[in-house]
Amino acid sequence: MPIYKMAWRNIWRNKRRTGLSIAVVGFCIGILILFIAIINGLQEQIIKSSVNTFTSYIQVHRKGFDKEKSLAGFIEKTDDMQKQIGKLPSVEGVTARILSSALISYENYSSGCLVVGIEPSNEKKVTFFYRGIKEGHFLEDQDEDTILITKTIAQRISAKLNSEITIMVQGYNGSLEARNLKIKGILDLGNPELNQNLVIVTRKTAGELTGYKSQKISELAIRLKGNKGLQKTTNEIKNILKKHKSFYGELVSEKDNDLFVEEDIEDNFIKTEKGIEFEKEFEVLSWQDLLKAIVQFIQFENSVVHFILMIVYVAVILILFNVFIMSIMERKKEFGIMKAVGTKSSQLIFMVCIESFAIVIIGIIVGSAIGITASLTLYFFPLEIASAVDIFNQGMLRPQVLAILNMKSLLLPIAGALITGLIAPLLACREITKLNPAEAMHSS
Amino acid sequence: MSTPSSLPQLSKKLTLRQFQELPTDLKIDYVCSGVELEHNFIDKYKIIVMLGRPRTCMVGVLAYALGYSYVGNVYAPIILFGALLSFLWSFSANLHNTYTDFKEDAYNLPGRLYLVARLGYRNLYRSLIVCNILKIIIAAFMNLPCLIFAVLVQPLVHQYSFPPLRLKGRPIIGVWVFSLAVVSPFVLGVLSQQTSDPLFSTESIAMMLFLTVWFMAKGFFKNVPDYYGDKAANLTTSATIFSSWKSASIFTLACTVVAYLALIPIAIFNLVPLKVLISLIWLIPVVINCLKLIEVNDGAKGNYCLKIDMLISVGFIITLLLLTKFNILNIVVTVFSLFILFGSDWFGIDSRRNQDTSGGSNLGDEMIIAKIAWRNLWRNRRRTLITLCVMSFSVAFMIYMVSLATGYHKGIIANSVKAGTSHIQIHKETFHSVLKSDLFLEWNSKMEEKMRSYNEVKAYSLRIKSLGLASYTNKAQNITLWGVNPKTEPTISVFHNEVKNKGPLVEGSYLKETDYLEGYLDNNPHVFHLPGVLIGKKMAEHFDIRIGSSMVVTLQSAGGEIKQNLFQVRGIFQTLIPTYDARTVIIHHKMAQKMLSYSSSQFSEVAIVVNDYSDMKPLAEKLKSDFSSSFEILTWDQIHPNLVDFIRVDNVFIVFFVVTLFVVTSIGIVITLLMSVFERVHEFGVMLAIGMKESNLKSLILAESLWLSIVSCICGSILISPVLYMGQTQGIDVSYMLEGASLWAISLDPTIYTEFSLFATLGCFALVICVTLIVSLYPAKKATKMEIVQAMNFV
Repeated sequence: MPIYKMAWRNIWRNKRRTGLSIAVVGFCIGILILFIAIINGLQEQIIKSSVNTFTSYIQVHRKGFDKEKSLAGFIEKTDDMQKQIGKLPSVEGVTARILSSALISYENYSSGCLVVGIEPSNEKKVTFFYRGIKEGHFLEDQDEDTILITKTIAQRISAKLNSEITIMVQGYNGSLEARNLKIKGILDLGNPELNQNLVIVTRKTAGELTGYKSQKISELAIRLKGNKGLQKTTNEIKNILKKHKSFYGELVSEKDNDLFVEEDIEDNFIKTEKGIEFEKEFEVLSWQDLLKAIVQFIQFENSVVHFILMIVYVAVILILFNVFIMSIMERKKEFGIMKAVGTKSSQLIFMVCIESFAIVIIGIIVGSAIGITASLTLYFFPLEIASAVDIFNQGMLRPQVLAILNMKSLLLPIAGALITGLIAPLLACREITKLNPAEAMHSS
Repeated sequence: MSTPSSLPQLSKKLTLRQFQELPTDLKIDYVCSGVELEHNFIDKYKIIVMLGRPRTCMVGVLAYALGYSYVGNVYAPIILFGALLSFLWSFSANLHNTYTDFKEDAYNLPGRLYLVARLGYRNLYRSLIVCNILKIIIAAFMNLPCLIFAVLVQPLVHQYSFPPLRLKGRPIIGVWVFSLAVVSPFVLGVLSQQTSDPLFSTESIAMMLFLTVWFMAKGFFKNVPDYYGDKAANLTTSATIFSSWKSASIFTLACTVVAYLALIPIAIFNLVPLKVLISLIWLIPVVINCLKLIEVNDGAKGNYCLKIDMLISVGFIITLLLLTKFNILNIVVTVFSLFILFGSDWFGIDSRRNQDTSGGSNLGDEMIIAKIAWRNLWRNRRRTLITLCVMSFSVAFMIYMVSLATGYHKGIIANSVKAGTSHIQIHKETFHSVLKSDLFLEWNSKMEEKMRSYNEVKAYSLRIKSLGLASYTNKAQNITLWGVNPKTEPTISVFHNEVKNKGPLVEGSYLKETDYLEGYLDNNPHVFHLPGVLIGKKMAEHFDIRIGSSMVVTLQSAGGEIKQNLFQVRGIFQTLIPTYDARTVIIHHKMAQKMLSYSSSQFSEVAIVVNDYSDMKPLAEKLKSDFSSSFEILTWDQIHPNLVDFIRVDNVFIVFFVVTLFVVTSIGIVITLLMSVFERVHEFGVMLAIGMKESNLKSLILAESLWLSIVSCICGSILISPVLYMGQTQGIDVSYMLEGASLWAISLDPTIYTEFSLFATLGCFALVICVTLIVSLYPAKKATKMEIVQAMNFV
């Protein structure tokens, strides 16, 4: 009889024990798949919520802008750039923004804030914060003297819809600009940080306030069609930017148009003319660079998950150790006879290993079936949760307990189980090699 | 009663069998003659425990937990005392009963009488007195109302069985006193509240009345099985006033149903939450059991019904408890009660055992079984060791996780409090959410006096908070400005600390008393002194500003005018919350008052740190009643609901993990025990054949698993203790997470310390032992379901 057949029959000799062993492996795999899928789901939502609410997938700005957020770091003549990026197959939308700190006041109250100038129709293609309008309407492209403020700021300055507020910005050349704007809408962005800071105007208004006019902007925000190929698209955008130049601050701001240089003389130009920079002076940041805190959170969470996985499997390995030793001890006499009639130790070990793998594989099948069913159920019928936890409040997407199956959630538990299958019969194998046929045959 | 001297055979030591062969009168004489068969100290205590019947005492402990659920959230030592006292109430009542009723026991429970003989009749009396004194001492440790109540209840407990009143001999009042077994622990639970709310609410009184009615019905039930005995003895009980067993038990059925259903009107009047009605599902087994009682018409079978009824009652009160308040305390109480309830047979700590009613067993059995079980375990050393490994590993891990969670969560709170939130903040109404500068509070000497009068307050400081704009060169940042008093502020927050470059103050120094002055100080015309400011690291990076540079802060005063002032950077602090570091600016409170046009007694916030976290809520309540309603008094959890929620989510996570590990481990235990059972089928067959009882075989297997769990608890604790020690002294550094740390609710100190909690660890042990015992019921059942002949032939 071939060894594998013998092994298969062996494992069904003690149905109860085999059943329980399979139950252990299956339970672990099932619950871990579900667990990792839920963690995946949470992470995915946290990222989605943040990316879709304001951050966007990729941002392009002047090098250092992300850290300094100063008006001196602008990029210029971006229409062409915007068009080219928009043509990339993986890009869904591109929009330009102007960012600046400002002071808004209404009657007796004032509050510091971050004013963002947007292109309303393009912005809708990139982020979804227009859905956060609680009162009033979103901006239109041609709007000039209107502003959207968040509910927190509205409460702070006691302003209501259609109130006329004053906004004060220190322009990039140092002059203080002030303007009266009418509140067109009140936003709730779901993220306390944004809610405390953000006011939105059109790019035109912001350009006038900051002195950027229509040529300069602070950043380009880009939406991709999916999270796949984030790195590839980032590289493609970098390639497009190679052909563009950007100008640093006031140094060359007066010279403006004269300095659009041909590609072939770029290199010479860097050395000769101060103030012209090329591709390396842009920063193209994906959400992974922009949302460092969330990425670090997720990394740590993943290491916790791995740790848990390890602990659970250590327990399973110990249990299976026991199972195999017991199954060997039970068959000591049998093994003695087999050895006496000439079966090699290696064949016996092979047989035990097959038994172990058979159990683990059945466990994997049962467990995966349970895990996948549970995860799919939670994918199609996610549970709503209301929570004030910081990490859940990244944007307008309300957190749900949602399970998302991916390769990671399937492979990690299964790989753990396979390793278990490898290690579990080790002790038993040692026992087989030590077996003395004469003694074993006489044991009862 | 004859004297012992006339009965020569009574002077010697009798075995249980010899004792049982004595006529009943002689039994009584024998016990009264002052014999003391047992000389082993530990066994004597065990007998006292057996006579106290811990199983029946758990209803009281559960009732105590129920009472406490109505008033408290705080886990204080008082709960432990209260539970102990509730336990002792029933315990001593049982001892009283044994002492006074041993003549009746001579007929019904000779085994119990033998226990008294072993212990010594006088020792029983001594233990009674000790028990009673102990109760008063424990009550004295609780609080005054509890002490008074305990003293009031004491005579009732005493007179329930003792003459002259011997209340149990009176049908109605006896049953009422009997109901005190649950009602008084309940009242005690209510009395041991930690806050200063009124003691009894309508809800708790309604529940108290319900418990009275409910347990009185139990009292009627209890008397029915003794119907014929009492009738013969011409005793008047609630049962014997009826003409027949049948009518007495029908009356009992009616009372019981009415008692349970009394919960419905209480729920309708909204005195208990509606979901509590779910517990009425127990009514089904209750009615079935009552119908059975009507049918049996026999004392012994009636006693069996009584036992079932007791189990149902415990089930009902547990359901009631968990539905009333589902918290860790109640779960622990439930698990513990179930453990005692089912465990008392296994440990042999109940004196109403089947063996005792029929005779034939003795105390040594359990010891022998435990010994055999222990030796059995080590027959297959390797298997036992591996199983122990799995279990110790899980135990170690559970303890670690629980300690880590305790330390982590405490750290979250402590850090957030130290980072300036403090435990309680007082502002003008709505200030917290809008931070408007015209919402200030007027601080006067009367308020100061009041603040000093609270014992709970460890320290407090007055602050000014406002929104503004900070600018440096051409950069600007909207900020939250804190005007603090450099003298009192260090008592409640830690920005003056500089710990090994870890912060919070990473550069420069804290504000000084003089940091509000501006101009040429001490007539020194060379140095123009500017008011000082502390800023966060993020802002310093953003502004690219250094210590000693000056920056402008713009504010809007209470009158609405925009005011600007130049400040010099004195220090830079760093926390783990990016937004905080980017936004918070700390200046001297006098400067802030000047800029906001406040007078020197106007502030925006009183920040209070209390001595102990558990003082926070009570103090907030006091403040609410003492201060005018135009103030908002916010406690830490109201200021940071996100952190409270985080802790909750984290707990779910930990429970999930522990449960997973536990299911895995328990399947492992089942496998091991099953295998060991099937290995010994032949042996068990022989044992059964030579007359071992099935129940003993069952106990043997349960004892094996009990040993396993006890040893693994010990091993696990030993294994994890060095790790715990490290975690407690050195902590786990997570500073590499940088910004991510704030999302893990870590705000100040990036080191997570574990904290050993005895309460939680004991809970873990209880869980391990219970789960092990429960899962080993399956192999135990397998072992006892064998055909003896087949088993013996099994090789």
